[in-house]
Amino acid sequence: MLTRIAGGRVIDPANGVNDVIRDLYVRDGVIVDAPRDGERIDRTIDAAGMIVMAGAIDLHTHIGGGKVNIARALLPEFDRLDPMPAHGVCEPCTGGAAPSTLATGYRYAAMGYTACFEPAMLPVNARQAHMEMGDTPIVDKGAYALLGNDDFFLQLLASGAEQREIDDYVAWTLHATQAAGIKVVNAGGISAFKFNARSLDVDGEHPHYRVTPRQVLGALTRAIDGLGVPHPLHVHGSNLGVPGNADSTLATIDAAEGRRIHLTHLQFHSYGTEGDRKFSSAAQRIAEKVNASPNVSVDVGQILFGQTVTCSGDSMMQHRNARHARPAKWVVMDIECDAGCGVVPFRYRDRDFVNALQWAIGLELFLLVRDPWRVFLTTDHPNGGPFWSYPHLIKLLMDRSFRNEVLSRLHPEAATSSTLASLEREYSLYEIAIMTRAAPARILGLADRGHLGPGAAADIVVYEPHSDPEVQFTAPRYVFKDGTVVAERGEIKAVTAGSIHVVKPEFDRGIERKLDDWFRRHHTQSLASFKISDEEVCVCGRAPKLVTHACTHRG
Amino acid sequence: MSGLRLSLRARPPARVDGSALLPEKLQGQTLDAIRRIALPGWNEFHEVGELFEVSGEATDRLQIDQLDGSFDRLGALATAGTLVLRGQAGDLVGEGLRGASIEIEGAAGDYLGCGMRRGRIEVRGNAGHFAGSGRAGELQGMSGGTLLVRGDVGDRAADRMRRGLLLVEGDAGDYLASRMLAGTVVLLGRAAGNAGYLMRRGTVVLDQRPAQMLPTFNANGRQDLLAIQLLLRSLGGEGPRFSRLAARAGGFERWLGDLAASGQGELLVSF
Ligand SMILES: [Zn+2]
Repeated sequence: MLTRIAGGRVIDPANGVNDVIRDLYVRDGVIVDAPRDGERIDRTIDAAGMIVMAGAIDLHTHIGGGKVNIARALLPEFDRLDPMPAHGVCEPCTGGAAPSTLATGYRYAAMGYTACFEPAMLPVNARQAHMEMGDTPIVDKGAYALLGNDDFFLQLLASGAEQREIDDYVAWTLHATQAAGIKVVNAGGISAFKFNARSLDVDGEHPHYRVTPRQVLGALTRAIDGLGVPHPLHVHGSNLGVPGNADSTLATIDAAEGRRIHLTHLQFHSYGTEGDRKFSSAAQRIAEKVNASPNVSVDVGQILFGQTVTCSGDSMMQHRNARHARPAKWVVMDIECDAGCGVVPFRYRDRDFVNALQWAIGLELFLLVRDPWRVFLTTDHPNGGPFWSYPHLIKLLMDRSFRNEVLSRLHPEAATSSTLASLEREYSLYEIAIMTRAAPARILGLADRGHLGPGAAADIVVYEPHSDPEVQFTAPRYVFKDGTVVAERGEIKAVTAGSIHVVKPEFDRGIERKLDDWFRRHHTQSLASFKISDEEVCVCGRAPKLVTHACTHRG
Repeated sequence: MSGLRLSLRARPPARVDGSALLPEKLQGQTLDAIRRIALPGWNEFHEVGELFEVSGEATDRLQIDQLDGSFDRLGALATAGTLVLRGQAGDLVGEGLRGASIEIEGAAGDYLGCGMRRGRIEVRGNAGHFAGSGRAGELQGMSGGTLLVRGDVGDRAADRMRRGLLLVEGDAGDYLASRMLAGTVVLLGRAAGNAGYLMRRGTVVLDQRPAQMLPTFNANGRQDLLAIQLLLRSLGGEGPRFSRLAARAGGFERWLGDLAASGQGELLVSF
């Protein structure tokens, strides 16, 4: 069947197309060239006057794995406040601070998002994470496996293993857990917490292994580059949320020594210690460094006001944050010695100085990092706020007067302690399309997503233009997923199943001999059952397709 | 009898959320408009007119007859008016109540009056488990108002109760007033095991010796407390059994606990 999306204003930065009126053609779920004369067009969708973009991609959103499920179990009271009764093709489910898998899929798709990446998949939890992602309808999924706090890796590093062996272990982990990338959370710090350390800066020594976070970052960025994995090492830095942590963040960038590195939820890592309250914005310093370092990409982790729940592998920092839990209940736990897990519910308040300044710092970063190909739109869902507040966030970026009007209602010192009020930049639609489509596809190595050229998956969003970007981005006129209309005007029309995205770099399988022995001595399961096969991940992950992306990135 | 009257025609195919049936919301609406209100069921909606015979006039008084236990959350979050429920009233009746009066001429299911803040609920028959408690995830149970059960209550009544008054004429199941934070419970019947388990503060008056006294409660001797005399006297209007208790109470054996929590609660046992 051939579908024509006719006459829309196409914005497709990956192909350098900015607001050009043209037709798009879709056949069998894929965007194709214009047909030759006389070929039958089965269906025409009139997009005249409307804006056409590729489906949006969220490269950092916590949608599966142990910690999200713990958050769901911890906070049923917020589910009850946000019921989603059965409606049309949708099954009944609940949203809330930690939304159900169904609500996650429905709300992302209704908003024009067609792919979501779970950034913190604990290898030992990978099976659970894939099943939860499989339960999340419509959108494509992928996940980053966590390394850098696991004992096998830290022992390799401490014993002076060759980089080649570390590369093999990283590659083996990507295969075994069916991951799309590697993330490190508080490098070495989560493990150090288990040895009673309460903080670990970039050059601090792990109390047991005697290695530093700088060494962990060095080894892992080298491995990612050496293996040609498209997504840079995804880094949740040291000292999350601690005033003055900007120094740690700058040191983290230096630790990459020019190799590719992605700093996630940078807002939580851009704090200074100036002022009476010893808490200030370091967004300017951080943004300057990012602008000057082409090997660095970032996502912001914007906070938005209201109730949410913070879910992190960083048990060291979540233990520190637990005293701020609202409601006053929290979970910090170890998961099979593989890393950690901390779930702390939180309410960001606009009249609170710290929260208001966090809000301003996030927006400063968005506006001060100049290259939209290297800064991504996230709230670190649900940590900074729910993903369904993205349209509001886009409005804050596109509309300076709205931004300043919101700023004027916050704790007054947020404005005086940051440069936000003076920043004039307003994002264009083209830049929004870069940061939410083209750039995430590029940085994840997704050759067939995030653009509208022939051969791309027909993940397409058609927006009715509106003077208020929040309205425009909340409920697009049409959302196509692999060529199927899955949503219209915010309402789900078809519930499809998304693909799973993975990478499988080549490596020397000899590493399995060492790992097999390790599993026999220390694990609760055998190496053979730890590994997830292609067939299993598709069956349990309910994925019609496993999409393996090439590991050809060099340098 | 004045007010609006709904009479259940037949058992609905699945459980139905009846929280939209509040006197304050229906007041002033026409019967036809009320018949068209859709109540969420498990996978579908049911119109009031399909489920109930609708009659009378929508005032601040609503009576629902022939209830069979399939309607949950009746009277939830109500702030004003009177709701009369006849038959088996389902779970979560009066959840988070904020001021109305609910009379149940029959029995109630689990979580009766859970999280209620103000107002009054009176049940002629028995109530299920977790009466006057909080729902899963909530840090507090009922935090105000009066919850009166003429029959028995199940397990975990007044769990995490924060404030207010729970009065029970019949017996209580296990774990009465478990994890209680504050507030007052008066039980005329007998409490089963583990009464006061992990209670931090609050007062539980027991007209009969409980089946078991937790080892983490300390005997504080026989006491004749003026405050309790005044409390019991104030309950005279709640029926003859309460006025009899007030008249004959000479004093109480006072037990302090639960020492496994902060231990500032008290169980007062009649003798
Ligand atoms: Zn995150």
